[in-house]
Amino acid sequence: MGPLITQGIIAENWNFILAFVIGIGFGFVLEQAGFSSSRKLAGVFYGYDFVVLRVFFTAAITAMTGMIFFHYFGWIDLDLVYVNPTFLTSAILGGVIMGMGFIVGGFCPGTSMCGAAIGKIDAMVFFASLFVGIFIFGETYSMWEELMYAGSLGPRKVFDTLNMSQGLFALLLIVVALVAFYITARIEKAATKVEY
Amino acid sequence: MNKKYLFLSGLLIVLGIIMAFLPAKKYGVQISPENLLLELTDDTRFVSTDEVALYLIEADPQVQLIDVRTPEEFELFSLPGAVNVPMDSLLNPNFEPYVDQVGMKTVLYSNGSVYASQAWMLYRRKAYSNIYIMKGGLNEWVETILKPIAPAATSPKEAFDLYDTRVAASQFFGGGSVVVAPNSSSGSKPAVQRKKKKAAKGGC
Amino acid sequence: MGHNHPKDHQKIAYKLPLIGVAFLFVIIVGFVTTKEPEHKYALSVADMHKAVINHKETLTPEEAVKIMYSNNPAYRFVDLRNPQDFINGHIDGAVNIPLQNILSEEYQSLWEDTAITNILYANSHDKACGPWMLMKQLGHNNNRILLGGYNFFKNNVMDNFTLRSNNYQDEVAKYDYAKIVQETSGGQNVSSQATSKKAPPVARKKKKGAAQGGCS
Repeated sequence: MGPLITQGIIAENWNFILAFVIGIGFGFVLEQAGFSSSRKLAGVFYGYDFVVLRVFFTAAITAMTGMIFFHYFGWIDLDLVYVNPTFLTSAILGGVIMGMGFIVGGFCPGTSMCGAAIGKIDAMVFFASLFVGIFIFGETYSMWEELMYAGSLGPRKVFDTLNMSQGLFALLLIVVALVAFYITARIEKAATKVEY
Repeated sequence: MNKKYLFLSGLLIVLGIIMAFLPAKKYGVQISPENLLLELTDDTRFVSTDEVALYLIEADPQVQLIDVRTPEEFELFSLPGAVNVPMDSLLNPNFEPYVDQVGMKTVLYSNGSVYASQAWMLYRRKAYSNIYIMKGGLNEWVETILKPIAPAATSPKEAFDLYDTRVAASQFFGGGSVVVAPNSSSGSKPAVQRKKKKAAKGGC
Repeated sequence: MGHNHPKDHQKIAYKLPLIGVAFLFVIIVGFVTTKEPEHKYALSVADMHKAVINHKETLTPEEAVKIMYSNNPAYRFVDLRNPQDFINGHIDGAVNIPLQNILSEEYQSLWEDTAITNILYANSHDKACGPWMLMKQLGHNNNRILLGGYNFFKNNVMDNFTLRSNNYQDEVAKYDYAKIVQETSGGQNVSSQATSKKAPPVARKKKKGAAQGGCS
């Protein structure tokens, strides 16, 4: 059956409407998890709050589980789902920059919008500086272009690279996630409580 | 430890174990045997030689002819604008862009109808859309377009109209149906020229 | 502040098992409703392509005549035309399976019976080609196509009690196309619009200018 749009079951014009609905849903979940607070978000780096890790890890393994089962039921064809191509250099570099921005600013792009929506000034500043960053990148794009496309690996999947089956990797990831949840919960307990 | 977290963790572990043992499934894009049969039972996959002649005379930009005969046969004679995709390289990825074009009508032809039908079956299973077969192939093309047979004197008017159209078409195709690129024949000027001497080669 | 008190958090967490159960429910529904497709391709497209260009699984009318007259029990004629045509005339001993029914439950045993080779025929060779390919792709290998189809067989065998012609190959070029193009051209060229009755005179006028037209 799916993916719905590439298979022509839903017209392509629906793309933006669906993106809007999903975006609202994403924002709702972020807000529910308390991600409009920069202290909560930065907590993962200081060791007093690991909600970020739990939310995103849970989201990943839930989506993964759903996708694998749906694929098995024939509801969605995973071979047709777009896989972002991996550019190793820019992935590492981008990860570092993103992480630093996360610690310094206390938000990631999505959560800054949540914060801005409920009237947090710091989130609005973060949100505005996002565009400054985009502008600078756009203007100096020619400098980065080569770096950006370096280390191209194509659309890779981890389990293919590790040469194991999809299901087994999924099981391993779930175990890793649960262990991570347990350990971070212990760390949280030991950490000094921060009021926010 | 909280009970609900234990429950959720257990649930995920169980699902994970099931996932690890689920047999892998590869779908790939293809249409089901039932749907293929459904398409086989109606004749909309055929276009007549008259329709193909009309496409070529009008230089319809939305029609792509595919010649599935051998390159030697193609070299000797082919319909204007046709691309040669020999039977043994039907699935060659280099030819895929010609066959599977969005918004284009792909018409397969061979000497008869068999090869074109076989190619149609393969392409339809791969779910390429808008694939058609020129009914009767080039043999029919000769019998209807190049050498139309005059209807009996008692035939209805439609038969005579069709005959007249075919005679005109045969004059159109008679002269220069040897490998003319589709674009060069799209002008309103007489697009066809005689190439008696060097019939095999297309270029001027 | 205060908007994310531990208590609020607990309240949200309270709903989690419910969500988990809902998730589980969807997956159970999936397992229950998913059934194996009745007909599955046994051959990949590439394998089918190989089988097609081999041209092995056909049967010439000569062989068919022998089989028909000897009542060879290892073969069975399968008539893929509609029942009316079948009643009007068919090869002796043929079984009628109308094309639209070839996948139905009723005839499964007939396809799966590997002891007997089915000789598929329809009005023409190409009409039997699609069904043969379909059955082949579903894993049934004991089918052959009757070259020339029923029309050839009727005209050249059944009406004459013996094989009269061997002109049953559909894909043989009956004409020298390039030569015919030269013959029929007669030096006339017609512009794109001239498909009406007035075509010949118009064409003749343009005769001289035509040579440049296509070359530019």
